[in-house]
Amino acid sequence: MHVQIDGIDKWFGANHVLRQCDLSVAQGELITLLGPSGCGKTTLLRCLAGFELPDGGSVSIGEDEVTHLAPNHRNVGFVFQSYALFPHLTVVENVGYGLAVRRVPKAERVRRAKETLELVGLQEFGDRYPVRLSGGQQQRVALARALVLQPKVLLLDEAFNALDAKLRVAMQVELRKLVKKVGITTICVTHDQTEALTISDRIAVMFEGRIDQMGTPSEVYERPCTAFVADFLGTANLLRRRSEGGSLEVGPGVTISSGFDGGVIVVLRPEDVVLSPPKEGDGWGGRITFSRLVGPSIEFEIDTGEERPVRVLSPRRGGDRYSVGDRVALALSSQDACVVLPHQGAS
Amino acid sequence: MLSRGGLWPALPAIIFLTVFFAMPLAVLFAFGFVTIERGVVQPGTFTFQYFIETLSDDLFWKVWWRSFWVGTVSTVLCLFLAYPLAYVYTLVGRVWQTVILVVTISPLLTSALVRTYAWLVILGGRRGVINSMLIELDLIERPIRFLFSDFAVIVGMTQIHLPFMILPLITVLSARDRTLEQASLGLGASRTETFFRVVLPVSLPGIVAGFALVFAISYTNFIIPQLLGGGNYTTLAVRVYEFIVVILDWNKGAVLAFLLLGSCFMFVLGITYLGNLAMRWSEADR
Repeated sequence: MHVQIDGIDKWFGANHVLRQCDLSVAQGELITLLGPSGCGKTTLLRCLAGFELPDGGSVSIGEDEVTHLAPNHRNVGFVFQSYALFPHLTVVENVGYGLAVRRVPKAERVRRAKETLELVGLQEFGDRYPVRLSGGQQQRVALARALVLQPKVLLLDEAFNALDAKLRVAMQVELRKLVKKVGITTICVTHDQTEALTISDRIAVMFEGRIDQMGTPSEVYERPCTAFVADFLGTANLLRRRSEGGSLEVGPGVTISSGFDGGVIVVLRPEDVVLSPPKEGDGWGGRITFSRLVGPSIEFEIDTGEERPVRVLSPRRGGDRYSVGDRVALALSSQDACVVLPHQGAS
Repeated sequence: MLSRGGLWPALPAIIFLTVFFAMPLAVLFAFGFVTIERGVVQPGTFTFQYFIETLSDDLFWKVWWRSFWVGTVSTVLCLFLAYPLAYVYTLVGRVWQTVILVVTISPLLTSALVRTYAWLVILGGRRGVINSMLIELDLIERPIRFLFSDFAVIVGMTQIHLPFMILPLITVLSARDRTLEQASLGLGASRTETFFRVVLPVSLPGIVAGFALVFAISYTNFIIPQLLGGGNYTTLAVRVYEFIVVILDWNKGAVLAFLLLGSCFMFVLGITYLGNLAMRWSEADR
């Protein structure tokens, strides 16, 4: 079902944690709320589940306005960061809990619980107690427990945090496949940008209680609309420049067009900067001060005489002929670098 | 557990308990198997005679039954009074938590004997607090006989042992994972249903601990039944006291002490065994 959040405000004492948040999620869409800790993303999710009541604004799920409805009347699936499995119930009993509450007869309850466990690949673990499951298995039980009720929307709060790195990626991919198979509207909360890029149809980047930008992973990555978004998702070189007459100079001899005039910030992804051997004259360039191998690429830091070095990501083949101390020339791989206005969130 | 760290850190306590607890107890129990005349153990005597006499005495079983059911009723009452309070403790703010803790613990600062006497004053005859109030209000004409009854013993015992039930329950309930309750609400359960389906079962370790503790001290208490039950009110513990201190029949006294302690031990084992059966889920035997 679709979800509509309009102008939500939430205060914790004197702390304004949600400031006029709007969010619109289509039926079957997988949305990630991404942001640093304390940005309000979990609070927004809890407002959707009914664990927090907003101080202003409204929440609708499907056609129903649910702003002040108690959580037990919303039929929303929630997967907690800690999974919150009931320790005194077996896996099947955990998954069947919501059905038991709805007075579904035992035989049907067990049948439906087992069907859902099959969906998450845990059909053989039905009789175990949660303490005897691994983290990944517990997460899948929590998912099954939410899905068995065929909720209107599925909410996941940092659900991959407790897993080790390799399993986390596998579970993220698995979650996306599962959610798409079931066709349920899903909203995830995370502070992990890789996770957001991996699983989402669209990402809502949150900062200080606001949604700064909402878009598909590639939109948000390639066209960040604030310096904060650019910096939070992946690595970015943020260069302060002055734009005049619709264009600006990134470095000596490197000019790009920009939409604004005045002080702006140029967002350069390290992989969009190209290294070449130094040229005659004063082109844009500098001296390599640091380099490290990151799997298939090499990351360089180049001192161009500015406050911060420019970070460049080169393919390992070809990049390995440069080393620390070398002078290099810099160029852009494309002419349409992203330009944003300075923002408080810029670092 | 023992194989890793060894026993030696516990050595001082073990020595102390051996010398001042286990050995005197062993000596006392041994008195049940030998004949004592005029305070002197008769050498070369070994007999089960006192055990057989005690166990075949109907009075013993009557007295035992009273100890058992008074202890059980008082423990169950403690549980029903303590649980709501301990639960409320976990819902209120810091200030009220402190109030509850102080109110719970402060009775422990006075001795149980003093508190038992206080109950004598409250429940006593014409001039007791309750009776004089009821007479003053013209609700009754002659004083109600509260004292020297099962009622008085159970009321006194319940009040005096209540802290020992409240404290383990507060510990377990405070440490519980609150997200489980949110998860339950999120799955459609009401608050009441969440309490019975989640909070109560998860707090079982505290219930078992409190129940075993309070049962053990209620079943074996002899001051409360003796003072609030009156001269003719006998429980197993009171009978031990009478035989050893009043009648000076150490043989029978030792046998009774052995049976009281042994049965108490069995009951506590039984309670924890049942508790463990109900808590198979918490076993960490991965």
